Amino acid sequence: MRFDWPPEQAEFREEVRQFAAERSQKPSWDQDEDRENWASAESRENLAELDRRGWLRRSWPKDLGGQEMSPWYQFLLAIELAYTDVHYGRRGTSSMIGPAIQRFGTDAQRAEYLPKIWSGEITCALGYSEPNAGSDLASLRTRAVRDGDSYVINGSKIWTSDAHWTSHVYLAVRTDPQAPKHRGISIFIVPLNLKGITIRPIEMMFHHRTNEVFFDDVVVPADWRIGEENRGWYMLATALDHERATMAINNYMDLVHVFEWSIGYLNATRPDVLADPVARRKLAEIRLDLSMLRALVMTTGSIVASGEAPSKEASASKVWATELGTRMTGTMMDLLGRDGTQVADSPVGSPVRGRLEKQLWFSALQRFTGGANEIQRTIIAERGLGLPRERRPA
Amino acid sequence: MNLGLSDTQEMIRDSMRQQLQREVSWERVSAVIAEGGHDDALWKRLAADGWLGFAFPESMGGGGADLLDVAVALEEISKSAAVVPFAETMACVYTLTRRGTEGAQAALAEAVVENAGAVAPALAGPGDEITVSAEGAVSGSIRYVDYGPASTHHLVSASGPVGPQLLLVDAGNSGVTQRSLDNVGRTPQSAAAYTRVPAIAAGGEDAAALLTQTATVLCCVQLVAFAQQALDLTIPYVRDRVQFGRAIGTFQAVQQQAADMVSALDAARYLTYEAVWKVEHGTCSPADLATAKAAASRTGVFVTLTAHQLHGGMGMTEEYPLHFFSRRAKERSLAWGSEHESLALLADSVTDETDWR
Repeated sequence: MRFDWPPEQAEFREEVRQFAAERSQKPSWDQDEDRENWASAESRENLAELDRRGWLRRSWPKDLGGQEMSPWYQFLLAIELAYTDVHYGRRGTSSMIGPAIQRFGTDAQRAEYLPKIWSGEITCALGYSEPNAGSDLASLRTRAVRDGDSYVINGSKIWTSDAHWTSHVYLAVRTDPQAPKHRGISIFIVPLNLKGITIRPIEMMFHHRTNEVFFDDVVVPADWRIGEENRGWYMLATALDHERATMAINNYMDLVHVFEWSIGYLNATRPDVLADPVARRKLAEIRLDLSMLRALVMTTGSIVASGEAPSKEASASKVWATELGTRMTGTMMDLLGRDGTQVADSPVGSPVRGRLEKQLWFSALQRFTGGANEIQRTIIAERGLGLPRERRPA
Repeated sequence: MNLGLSDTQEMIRDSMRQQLQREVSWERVSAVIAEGGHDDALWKRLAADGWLGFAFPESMGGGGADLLDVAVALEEISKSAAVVPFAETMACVYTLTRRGTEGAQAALAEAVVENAGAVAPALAGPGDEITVSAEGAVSGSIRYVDYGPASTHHLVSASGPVGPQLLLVDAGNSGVTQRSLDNVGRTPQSAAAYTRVPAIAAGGEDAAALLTQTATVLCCVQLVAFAQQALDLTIPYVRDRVQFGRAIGTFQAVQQQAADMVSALDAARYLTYEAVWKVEHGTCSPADLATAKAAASRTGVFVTLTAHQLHGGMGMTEEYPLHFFSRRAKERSLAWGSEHESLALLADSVTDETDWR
């Protein structure tokens, strides 16, 4: 057991910190921030630069241009860039879809897609959920029907965040409607500019745009399918474990920012709150909860570093982060009394420039996205603790 | 960063676990608790097998174990429900071998390694007062001394004219009187009074600070161990217990509580071992210590009480071992800084900058 970084990893961390310092100043509580600018040219350039330095692939196999070094390098990179709020491509495309193509794709697909993913040319939205397939994702119904060397796709996806600016969608579709629901799903990587694809915006309650995506006789070549036909569910489940491990880092740092900003805001504008011992005690509880979240994130990183799938640990981080997010933003607003009611554009100002309110709704959303917390707890109990499976309806 | 055990630590865990599985039965623990004492035969056995000397540095003829090694051994002892003053004695041994005076180190080696004695930290709390005469004799009283009656020596904290200091006293001296206390953990404990007891000057302010840190993080390790054991009892129980025609472990409401138990435990375990590591490396801040203790206290009580909920009536009986762990967890959660006291300390420093990376 050791809780520090060996010299070569500490040195790497310093390099990343320097890189980050040149590209982003973590905004202070009274500065504007733009958390939706992952689509910017700057963001794409950051991604390309990270790849030029070889940092995105330190832990990858050598035959894919990697250096086969400890997965802790990816962890350090992710946590440092999240802390300093450096944007690089679309969160997840390089960390999640890249590894899936590496693992399940053909040689031709690896050669075609991976360089473009690392350069930021390809960005992916996730085409999983459908109007009638949310938590019960395996019941998805968007169809892909084989037609010679092609497939024809019909159906619709929902909550497809970022699809209005990403180049591709990483799409789960049904290829065998007769098979049991987990065994008839396949995965495609599909450009979003194809004929027959329509993207319609959905405005969420906290100034976030997501999308509906409609597929109307969209023809895609068979070699855009990733992995074996009808084996898509297995690939999805693997990718979801890694998605949650990455999400855990980002969720954690989002909450760290909110905590730091709130302390900054209170120091500058509401010293009366900080002088109140009951309020300080509530802030101390948030600090303790954040430390426990840090512990879960580090534990998840440690499982990944040991080469195992971070199933129970990633789920625990996700549950802890999202529930803490609603609890802590709620507490912070509560400490402010009526000042807590004002939102970002209010002429009298708003607490932490509206970020408390935004994080409140965002955390409330995150409790059920990426696998609802109820499902995460079932994963922890059944996969992590080995409890018997509950009887589920087919 | 590496959360895995080293080869040495795996060896410590396995050999301690095997020995305890051979020697400590629940019947034996129940008998020891019923008599209100400690398991002296087991303590002698641990001494004979070298466990009491293993935290002495090799230069003093010991096993050279660091604080993480001690924590790994303590976790096994705590999970076994053995009633022995291992945490207390190891906190004193670790402190004095690192920061103690030569006189205290020699006396300690004789007491613990040669004579299989035990040493109890006797730290003055609110209302306690300890004075030291010009000749170095200790007088005063201390309300709570864990395993005080079971220990051959007490390591007493006093505040002298030059600041806090530690004094090693022979608990068998006629100037020491102890009244046995009854606590929620059913652990041996005394209120001790000292009347002009001859003492060995054992260490100064830095030693006193290290004793508090060491005792606190070892207390966290005990809490984590008690919670782990409560969880380890709960999982097979809910897997086997059938109600409504199915194992209750298949019910979502049961599963979700089990998930919350293990998630909190994973977090508390990480913070605990991180604090142990920081104490070993001299980098444990007061906030680090308070964070670990608050997390361990909260989690120890939460996990053991949830274990009771999932066990139902069986878990409340004297014959089933769960109450040992829930009682001990409750008692340890209040020692060396309760959750409330630890949070109060964090509240004082809540606006300080923290490196969250």
